[in-house]
Parts: sequence; C-alpha cells; structure tokens
Amino acid sequence: MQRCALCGFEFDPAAASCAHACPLATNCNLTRCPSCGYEFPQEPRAVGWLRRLFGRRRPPAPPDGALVALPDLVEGASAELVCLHGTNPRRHNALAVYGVAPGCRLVLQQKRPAYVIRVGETELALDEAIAREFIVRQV
Amino acid sequence: MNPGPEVSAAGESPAPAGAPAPSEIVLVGNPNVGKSVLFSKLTGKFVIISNYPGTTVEIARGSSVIGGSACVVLDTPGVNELAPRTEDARVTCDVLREHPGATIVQVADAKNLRRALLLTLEIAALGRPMVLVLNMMDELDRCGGAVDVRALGAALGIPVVPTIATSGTGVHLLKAAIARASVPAPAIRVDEAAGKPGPGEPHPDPAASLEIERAYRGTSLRLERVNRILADTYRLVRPHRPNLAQKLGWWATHPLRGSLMVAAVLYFSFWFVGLLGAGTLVDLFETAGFGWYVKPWSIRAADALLPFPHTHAVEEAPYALQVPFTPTSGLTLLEATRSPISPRYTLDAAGPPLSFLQSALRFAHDFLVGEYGLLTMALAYGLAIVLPIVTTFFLLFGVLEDSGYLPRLAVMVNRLFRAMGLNGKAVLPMILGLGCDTMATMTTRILETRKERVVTTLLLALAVPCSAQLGVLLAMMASISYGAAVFWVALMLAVAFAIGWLAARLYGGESSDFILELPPMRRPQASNVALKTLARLQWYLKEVIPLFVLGTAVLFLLDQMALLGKIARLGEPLVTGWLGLPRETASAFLIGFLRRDYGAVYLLDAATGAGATLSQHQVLVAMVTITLFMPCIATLFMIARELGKKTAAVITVFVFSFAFLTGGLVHHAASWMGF
Repeated sequence: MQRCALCGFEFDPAAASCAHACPLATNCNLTRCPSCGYEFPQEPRAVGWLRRLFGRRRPPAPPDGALVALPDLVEGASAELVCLHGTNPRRHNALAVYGVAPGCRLVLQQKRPAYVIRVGETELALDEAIAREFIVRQV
Repeated sequence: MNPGPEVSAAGESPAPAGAPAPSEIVLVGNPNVGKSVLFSKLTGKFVIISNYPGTTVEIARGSSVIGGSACVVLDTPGVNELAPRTEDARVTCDVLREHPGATIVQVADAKNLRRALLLTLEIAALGRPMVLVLNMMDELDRCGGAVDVRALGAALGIPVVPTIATSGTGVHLLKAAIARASVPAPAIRVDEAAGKPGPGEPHPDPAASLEIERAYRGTSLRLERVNRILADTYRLVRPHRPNLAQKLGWWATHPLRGSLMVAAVLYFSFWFVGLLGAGTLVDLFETAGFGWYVKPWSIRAADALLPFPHTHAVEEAPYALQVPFTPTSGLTLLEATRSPISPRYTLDAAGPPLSFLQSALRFAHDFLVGEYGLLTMALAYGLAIVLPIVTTFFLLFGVLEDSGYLPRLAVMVNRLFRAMGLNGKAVLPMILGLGCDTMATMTTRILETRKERVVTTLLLALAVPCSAQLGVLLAMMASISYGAAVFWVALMLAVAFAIGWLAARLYGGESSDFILELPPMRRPQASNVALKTLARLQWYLKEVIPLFVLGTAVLFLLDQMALLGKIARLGEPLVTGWLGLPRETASAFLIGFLRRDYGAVYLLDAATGAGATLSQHQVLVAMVTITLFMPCIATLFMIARELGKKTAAVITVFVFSFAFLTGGLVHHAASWMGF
C-alpha cells in the first residue's frame, strides 16, 4: 500500500490510474494519488530496506484512556501517573519527595540513554527498570 | 534584578512585642537551591558553593548581625526529606537536634515549589520558628511563573521572603524577616500515622519496613496538601518557551548530541588540564621558575649559610613557552636558554677531608638543597608540578559543577557504569579522582549503598590516576609509540570494567536506584568558580606540602644512610626479574606510596630526562604498574576512615598485588611478542 505524500490517502499503487496518452508513460516512475491527483516518485527499494532496517519503530499510540507502562509512550507525550507498580516503598518515597506520586502530571522527555521525565519544573533521570513501574494514562 | 511584584516578606503572624532576635539560625533546604550562596551573603564567609548534591558535606559556620545583635549561622547539606536515611539527611537532623533553640531558615528554589513545600511541611512538624526563602526569583520570572508570596505566607503562617542570592537582592529583607520568625500554622502539619493505601495504589509488601511504609504515607499526604497550597498561590503568567539553557540541557542528555558533548567536554578537559596545565604551566613553573631562579637562589643562599668546600655543576636549561594545540604540536611564543647551577656538586678532591663541622654543614646543605632537598625537590614538585595541574583541574571541575552539566554526564554514562556494577551517580567521584583520589574517596559518601561505595573506592585506588600523576603519565606517553599509548589506555579501561564487574558480583548487597534530578543548566559565575577553586586549593595545599616534605625527608635519609641501594636490592627480584625495570626504580615505587605522583615523576626523569635510562618497553611497563599502584598514603588513610580498617587493608593488599602482577604480565607478554 502506498500513502500519498500530500493528502495522506492510502491506496494500492498497482490500481492507481494514469493518463495513457502521456508521452512519459514508458519510463515513468511517478505514482498518482487517486484522491488528490498529486504525483510523486516511488520509494526506491534500497531506501525501503534501509528505512525498515534502521528506522525508529515508534510504538503505536495507546487508545485514549488506556493504562500503559511509561516505556510504551512516545517521547514528548504527557501523561498522568495512575499508580506505581512494584512494592518498594523506599523507591516510591524517593520519587514522592520529587513530587512523583499517583495523580501527578508528567512529560516523558526522552527514553535513551536513560529515561528523563519532567514533573512540574523538576527533571528526573530514571533507569528503565524504574520507568517500567510507572503505570500512566496519556493525556 | 527585581524579584517580582511581591518584593516584601509577607504572611508572618506578628511576633510578640519585644521578642529577642535569634542567636542561632540553621539554613536547610533541597540541594541546588543556593543555600551556600545565601550563607556567604549573610556571613561574608566563603564556603564550597556547589550545584551537585553531596559536595557540601561539612557544616559551615559563620556569624551575621540580625536584629542588631550577633547571630551564629549554620549551613547544612541539601536534603529532600528529613528522614535520616542518607548521610546528608543524618547530618542535617543532627544539627537541628543539637541546636534546639535555633531559628530554621529554609531556602527554596522558587521554580521548584512543590519539592520545597514538601520539606516545609516536614520542618513545620518540628514546631520551631522558621522563615521560608524563595530564592532564584529571576529564574522563576524567566520561566514565566509567578508566586503569590502573601498568600503563601498566610497559608503557611510564616514569613516568606523572595530573594536572588547571587546578586544579594532581598538579603536585607531576609534579615528583617528572621528577626520576626514564627512557628508555622498548625493547619499545615500532617499526621503521618493517618491514611490507608489509596485507590490504584498497590498494597504494601508485608516484608517491607514499617518505618519506610509510614514515611511513604506521610509523603503522599504532604504532597496532597502541597498541591492544594500550590493551586492557590502559583500561576503561569506567560507560556513557557524553552530558552537556550533548557535546550542545552536537553541536548546534553540526547543519545547523539549528548555523546558529542561528552566527547567535546572530555577533549577540552584533556587539553585544558593535560596539555595546558600539565604541559605549558608546569614547564613555566618548573623549568623557568624553579630551574632558573628559585633553585639557584636557594643553592647560593645555602652555600653562603652552610659553607663547605664544593663546586656545583652547571646545567643548560632550555625553555620554550608554548600554547599547545595537540599533544605533539603547538604555537611557540618564546624560546630561551640559561645555564643555572644545579643541586649536583663535587667535593674539592685536592683539599683535606671534611671536618666534623663541615660534614654537619654538608648534611644540612643536602637536606635543604641537595638532590633530594627540601627546596630543590619537595617544594619544586609540590609547587611547580602538582599545583598548576590541580589548579586547572579544580577550575574546570568548578565550571562543570556550576553549569549543571555533571548530572547530565551521569545520565550519559549510566549504562556504562551499570556494566561495572555501579550507576551513573558514581561518575562524580570518578571524575574527582582524576583530580585527587583522596578527595574523590571522601565524595563516595553521596553513593547510597555500601556496595557502591566499596566498588567505587576500589576502582579509584586501582585504575584512576590523579591529575598530577596523569600529567606525568601523559608526558611519559610522549616517549612511547602511539600503539603502546593506545594499549595503555585500553588496558586501564579493561581493568576498570573487569575488576568493577567482578567486585560488584562478589560483594553482596544491592545497587541503589538511579533516580537523579537534573538541575537547570546555568551560566557559571566566574566569582563562584574562583571562590570554590581557591577553597579547594587551600584544602589541597594543606594536605600536599607536608606529605611532600615527609616523602622527600624519607628519601633523603634513605640516601644518606645508603639504604636506598639496600632496599632496591631487597626488591630486585620483583622489580628487575618480574617487571624488567632497572634496580633504581625500586625507590620510585617506595616513594610512590608516600606520594603517588612523586614516584611517577621519578620514573619520568628516568624515561625522558637528560640521562634517560628506560627503554620504550620499560616505560610502558612502568606506566602500567604505577597507574595501578596504590594511591598515596593520604588516600589510604581516607579509605580507612570511610570504609573501616579491615576493608582498607583488603583493598591495599589486592591493589599492590594486582599492580605488580599486571605490570609483570605486560612485560613478559611484550617481551615474548618481541616488542
């Protein structure tokens, strides 16, 4: 399936129509969007391989209101902390002292090389193991 | 800079008429809020002013005039809660307990009110007069936030004073407010015993400590109350657009940009400390300063005061003032050569033998200006070699601290350190170890578990060369091949990882959680950095000069009693047979223990001096052994103080054995492979 670079319409390139009388028809590698008519070149195969090999795999956005673990969010997402999984009160207290407790709003700034979240004006760096304990709802 | 619309302190309940001004005040607050800056503004006294938690571990004491009478001011380490679970919190609790009549002045970061108010509610439970200082009001203004100081003071029932400590704004208001400090309103005190697990919260682990569980409940309740107070007093005046400092902060922890920044910072550090400090400045002080002037003057003065028939040798001493670009090239600004007299001398062969008095004078002369003389060796090495390197290191470290970069460096290296059984927070002691291992060992206090403190201390003792030694090692590296230099660096890193990993596995216990606050990036203040560097240099000089004198005196006595040769013969099988080094280097190892860099300098002379006696192969073996060798005696004392004598003894035996074992293996492997 091909996605139009202009309008985002998804279509089967084999089924896309073209003007048969066009003088460029023989050597044309352009695809025309059946929805808006925009023509754009097809992605070379090598580029497609590279994109699949090295491209970032963005996790699909969670459905609205679903509870997920913090690592399942994308970078830049805002969320409300619903609860802290795990039963390590020392860790929970250390987090609470920074204002990270159920009910707080946080922004996931980055995931690599360590998780960095922002709660209010406090930026905190966390290990992935600790980030996994955050059960959040995206807002 | 105007701190904001609410300039005056507000909210306090009126103090009883005629109430005496406090005689003692204790400054408490979260880390990175400007407590130490405020302390210096109140007292006029210098103290380590730091942006990274854990470096103000000693209590600073000063005095100020408040309400017309003298008042003692005590500074405490930054804490996020009063529970005595960390070293810093224990010290703070001890200070509060030992001074029950002191007024408490809590310093807060105005941008980070939630955290500050959590601590305020804990302090309020003590029921003592207090004042809340909202510092860094300029940064709050830049963030687009605003605090209703009057409403906050009314809600808490104590004076609240906005300040900008770095410029001294609001300090006079603070002094007036301290004189009117009041006990916080009962309404804000939280009952920690109340509260059951809320909805969505996991039920507590029955095996967990009841005290920690109660602490968590208390913190959650306080957080609820703080959120209510904030809703009434804090607002965002204009949208928050990220400024350059914030963007720099984000880039510093970005996987790619952050790595580039780490590489840039490391290269700049290497250039500033290793090339400019250890190269240009040491050359200037040692060759030109001491070599051309101080040593010859001292020798002439000693000859005049302690006469006996002898003639000093004259040695040519060329000097070039060079600004370095790379380890092997630079811009030469000036070149000159002189021929000053040297400590080496010959007795008058044709004259009569020395009388008893002349021999005594000769002994005193040699003690002061001989080859192992106090002035010609001890002070020269202490002031000409160690001091410039350590000064550049502390300057650089001060800039990195104040800029807020160090915690971000911890984020970048956290995964790497995990491989060594540590976490990213250990980067601070490791970097400090490149300056001074003794100071770095003390800083391991910021690590939360004993396991991390022991592993970090072991790695500091084993694989982290201090700055003076590093300067000498870099100079020695210039006399070996590029491949050998790369091998040395790679071997040290491999040893650090392997031993760290092994030690972490063998030592029972757990590592601490990696939860680290990233303070905002700030432009370092030159005056702040200079003050900190001066304070650290003062501490360092008090440690270094006596040990240099002691080390030189021991070496001098060993030489006078012809014991050096005897000790060298004792260690001959080890040094010549196993390490393949000349017999004379045995004294380098002996003195190296008294002062680590000292031994390395001795080897440097043998490797690169006028009468170089070591081959490239031997230089590499010496470098490996010296780097892994035990740090100086001061570090050993510090390890015993921090971890106990038994642990210190185990670390010492291991490090000595491992250093000689590795040095010998390198020698034999390199010989076998034909290098």
